[in-house]
Amino acid sequence: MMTVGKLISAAALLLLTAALPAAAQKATVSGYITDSKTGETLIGAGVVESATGAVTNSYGFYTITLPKGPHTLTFSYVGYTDETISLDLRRDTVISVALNPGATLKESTVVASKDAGIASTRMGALELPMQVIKHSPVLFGEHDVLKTIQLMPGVQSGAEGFSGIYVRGGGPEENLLLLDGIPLYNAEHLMGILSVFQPEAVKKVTLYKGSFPARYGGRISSIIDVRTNDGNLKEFHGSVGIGAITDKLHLEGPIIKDKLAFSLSGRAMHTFLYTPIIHKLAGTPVNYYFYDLNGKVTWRISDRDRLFVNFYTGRDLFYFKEKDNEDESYWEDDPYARISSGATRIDINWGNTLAGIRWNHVFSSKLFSNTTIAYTRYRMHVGLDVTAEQKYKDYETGIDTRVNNTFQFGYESGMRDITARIDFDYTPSPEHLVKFGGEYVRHTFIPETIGGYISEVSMGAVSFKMDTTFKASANDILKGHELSIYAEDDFTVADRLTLNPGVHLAFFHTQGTPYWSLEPRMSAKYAFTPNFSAKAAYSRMAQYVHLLSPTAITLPTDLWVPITDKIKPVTSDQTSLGMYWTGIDGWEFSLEGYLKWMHNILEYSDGTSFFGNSANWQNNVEMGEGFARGVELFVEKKKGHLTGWLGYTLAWSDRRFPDGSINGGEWFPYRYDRRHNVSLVLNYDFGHGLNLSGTWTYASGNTMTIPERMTAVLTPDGEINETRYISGRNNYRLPPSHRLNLGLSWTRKKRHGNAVWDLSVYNVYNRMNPNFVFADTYTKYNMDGNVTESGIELQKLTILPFIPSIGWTRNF
Amino acid sequence: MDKKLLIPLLLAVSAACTSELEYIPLNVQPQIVMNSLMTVGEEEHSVYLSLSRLDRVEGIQGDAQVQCFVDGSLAATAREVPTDQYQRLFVFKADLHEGDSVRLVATAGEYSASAGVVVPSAPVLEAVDTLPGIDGSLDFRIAMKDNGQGTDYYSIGIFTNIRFEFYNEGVLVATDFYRHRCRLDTSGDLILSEDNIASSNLGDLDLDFGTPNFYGAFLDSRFELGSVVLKPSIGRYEIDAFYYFPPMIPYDEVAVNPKLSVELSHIQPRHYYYLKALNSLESGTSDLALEDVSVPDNVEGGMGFVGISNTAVRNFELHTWNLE
Repeated sequence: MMTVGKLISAAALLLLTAALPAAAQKATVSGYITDSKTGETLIGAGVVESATGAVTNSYGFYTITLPKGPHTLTFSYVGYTDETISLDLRRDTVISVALNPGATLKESTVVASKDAGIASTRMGALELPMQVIKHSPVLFGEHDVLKTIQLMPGVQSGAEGFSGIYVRGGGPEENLLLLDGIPLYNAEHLMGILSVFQPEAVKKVTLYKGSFPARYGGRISSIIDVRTNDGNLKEFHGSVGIGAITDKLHLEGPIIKDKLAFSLSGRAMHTFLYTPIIHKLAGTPVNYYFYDLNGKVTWRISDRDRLFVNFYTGRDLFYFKEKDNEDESYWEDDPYARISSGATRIDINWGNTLAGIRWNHVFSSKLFSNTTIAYTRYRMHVGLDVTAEQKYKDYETGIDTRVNNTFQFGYESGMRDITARIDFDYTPSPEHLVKFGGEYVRHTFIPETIGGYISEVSMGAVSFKMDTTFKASANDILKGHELSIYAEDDFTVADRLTLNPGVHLAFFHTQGTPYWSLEPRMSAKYAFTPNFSAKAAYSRMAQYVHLLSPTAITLPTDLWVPITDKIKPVTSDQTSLGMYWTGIDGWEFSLEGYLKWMHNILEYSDGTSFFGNSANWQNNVEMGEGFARGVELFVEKKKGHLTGWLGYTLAWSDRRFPDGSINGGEWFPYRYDRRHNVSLVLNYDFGHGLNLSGTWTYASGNTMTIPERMTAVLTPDGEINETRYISGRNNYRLPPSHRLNLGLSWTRKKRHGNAVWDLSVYNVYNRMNPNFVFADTYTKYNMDGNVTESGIELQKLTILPFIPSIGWTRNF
Repeated sequence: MDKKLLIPLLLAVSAACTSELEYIPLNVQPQIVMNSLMTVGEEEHSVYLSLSRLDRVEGIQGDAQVQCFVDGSLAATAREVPTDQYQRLFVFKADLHEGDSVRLVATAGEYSASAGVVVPSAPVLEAVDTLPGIDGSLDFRIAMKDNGQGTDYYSIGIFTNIRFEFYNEGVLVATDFYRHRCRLDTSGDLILSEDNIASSNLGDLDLDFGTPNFYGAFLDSRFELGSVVLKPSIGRYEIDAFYYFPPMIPYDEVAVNPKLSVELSHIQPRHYYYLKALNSLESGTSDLALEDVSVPDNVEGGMGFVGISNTAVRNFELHTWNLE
């Protein structure tokens, strides 16, 4: 039987052999495509020569192999003026091109093997235009990457108004969020109302939800790949912004022109800056705020080498301090009065820190590499610090005495990742773009630890002291080792047919248990005409970590834990089929359908308590299977004054636990099973800096479990107890939610740069969508004590009604 | 202090408002509730009937009848026994055996409901031993054997069975029988606690708010194909009949005959999840539950649960016992 390694070697050999005969008569053009004004590399920019094309990778590097002889190359990118270069190709050549930003938004003219979008072989892969993210009217005027992703077909939100992402019937923990290729955990602020991605720092966002590139693994539902700005290599620029709840600062510029650049973005909630005022108003130190800080340094060492150092840190903080003073005198001028003073401080903080070094190296015009070493940390801390001092005159001795007591308590949880990764892009021939590489991640999970410190100091001498660190029982610090290798090839089989076969082989080792996962991936595209194509795809994915998140919103107490010897990896098999049409200039139409089987998915067992669910967590969950299917329609207008899209999703997502542990072993709808999802996103550019945008969303209600009536149960001891009757899990579907957001953006040119006013109205017609719902039984009696009315009562809590906001940004 | 802690919360939800959500129940009609937990070999089997409404459970008015069918044939018609509860109790005698298909049919006026169960095979209880535990508790070693065919579901119960004889001036004035299900401490047993073993490391905090296994429900997935020794414990107060109240009669001497019984029951899968649901309800954590407890239900045309267990029993004398 052929081993996996042999299979991969054989496939690679086959690809190389196919490429060799043609190589002698051909030469390769390679280089970077950048923005002429900033030097920023352009991801997904195209280069085309007659019917042959290529696009830049995540680092702005392209490579195209052509027959030797005269050629005319056209370089293009959305929103930039095309650049045409004629050359007589005789040998491998390096051509780096700087494109000029165009006056109007236009569509790329290249139809090439992009990694995402309608022209790519891949399906269920979407590029989010940053212009759309920056113009979308949103809550508190805070443009948000994850909120914009929620507007894509196949993506649903969790609790109304929050950033939770549910992709094609999957859960929020099944999405891999990458910031410059580095995983990010708990990427939300303000309990999920905002995400940590700061639009000013972001260059490109790609969402994969269907056919996953083989280079990605570790989650089963989606990959959200966020790439940040490299920094302006030409000129110093920046922006200052004041929003409804945050203030922002962005700076970028050359340290050494065309060689070394930096990009620095910071964002903080107003309360961070106005701390002294809040202290004064509250009369005591108290505050809640969050902040983000993104930094990046880009060094163009040579044409062949580039080095990137990036850093992100973000935290949410809450603290409170109170002072007590008490004079326990029994009468005036009591010489033995006991005077007590003390202070209590509580602080809760949580957030991510991430740092990475990446090195791009061009081995040859056909081989490009990226090496990454990264560190990610998520940490949550709760601290309690109580100090007390008592001063008194001792009754017996008459000596002035002072006793100091200290009690400190600390609760910690979190996780750390150290990642080493290498990726290669190899273009052996125009027909092949081979990507291969490997990754090692060392996970350290810190589920829960508690530290305590108690001391008593009497007259300067320590009379009692205890300093202990506890760990939650059966909840040790856990290590996980994740190793993976991959290979994929974007293969142009014929003029009309392209394939993207790939394989991702992963190994995960934790608590003495090894797990292997072979994940084949395949995408195929057949172009019936230049404007009409069909795609099909299959992806197997595996996931080795779980998020213990007991509520529908993000809480700092949510814990990431690895699989165990009992809880197996979650896997999914997804097949999808789609049709794509670009027959009207500036318009794109797509229709995709998918079937997704999920194995070893987890649900909390009936009756699992909100508290302490992390200890022995594996006993509080059940393992089952899931089945999601749906159809997604996406119509996008990309040209002209009016741009935007209409997305519609018809979807089902069900769960089953065949052992009978949940719902008697019968299928039941997933908590976020929503039948219909509509998102209409429109943006009208009036010119003269005036831009009006609107989003309207409609979503069928999600499900929840509510009591239906009262019943009686018999215990084995013969006792009869009344309890609430629930026929099955997620037995109630909430009413649909819909909302209209509007935004007006006015940009005024200034002597240096411009100033932008953003007006946003969230939930224009004040639809009282339910954010949370509570259920209970009720009984009403008349004056005689007789029951007049009884039933089940549902209360909905709406926390995001009509909310206008205003923001101002000064770009310079 | 509390007010200031609320400041950030109030800021966050300053615009929040609560309102009623329209809810139309699928079925507003009252439904008959039938509950019965039968045991093979029991002299009489009990069936409880009541009526479920949206907000409460109440007694069934008028004539009611319960019949038991075994393998499709009428085996017994239950007689009603008066109780002081609104639940109506019916009892019947039926000789049930492994593999029997038992169906209970209840009718009460316009209401009718039925439930069918199959009698499981008899479990194999090999041996029971006890060891003195910490602070007067009693540790058990219960050896059982599993048939190894598929997944089997069991429950284990330990009962104090005490016969009291009350004498006054040498004359027997009353007898009483006290039977009490002992609350099991399963934290030392992998199978009964479903791997929820309590930490033995001093200094560790037990942050596990897991559901106790009051009714000793377990399955054989951890010991398929073989014998196993279960290791539950019971506390001193469970043994000492702490919860027993003697009759209000004059007596000057009491003779006691205390026994413990260990009862291993082979049950159906749905019965196992029913006991687990009862564990959750009784643990008191259900008010803070992430997922509400859904009690399994197998009554057609109504509500409730009908289960049957095949039970092996070991009785033994209690040598150390005192009435406090």
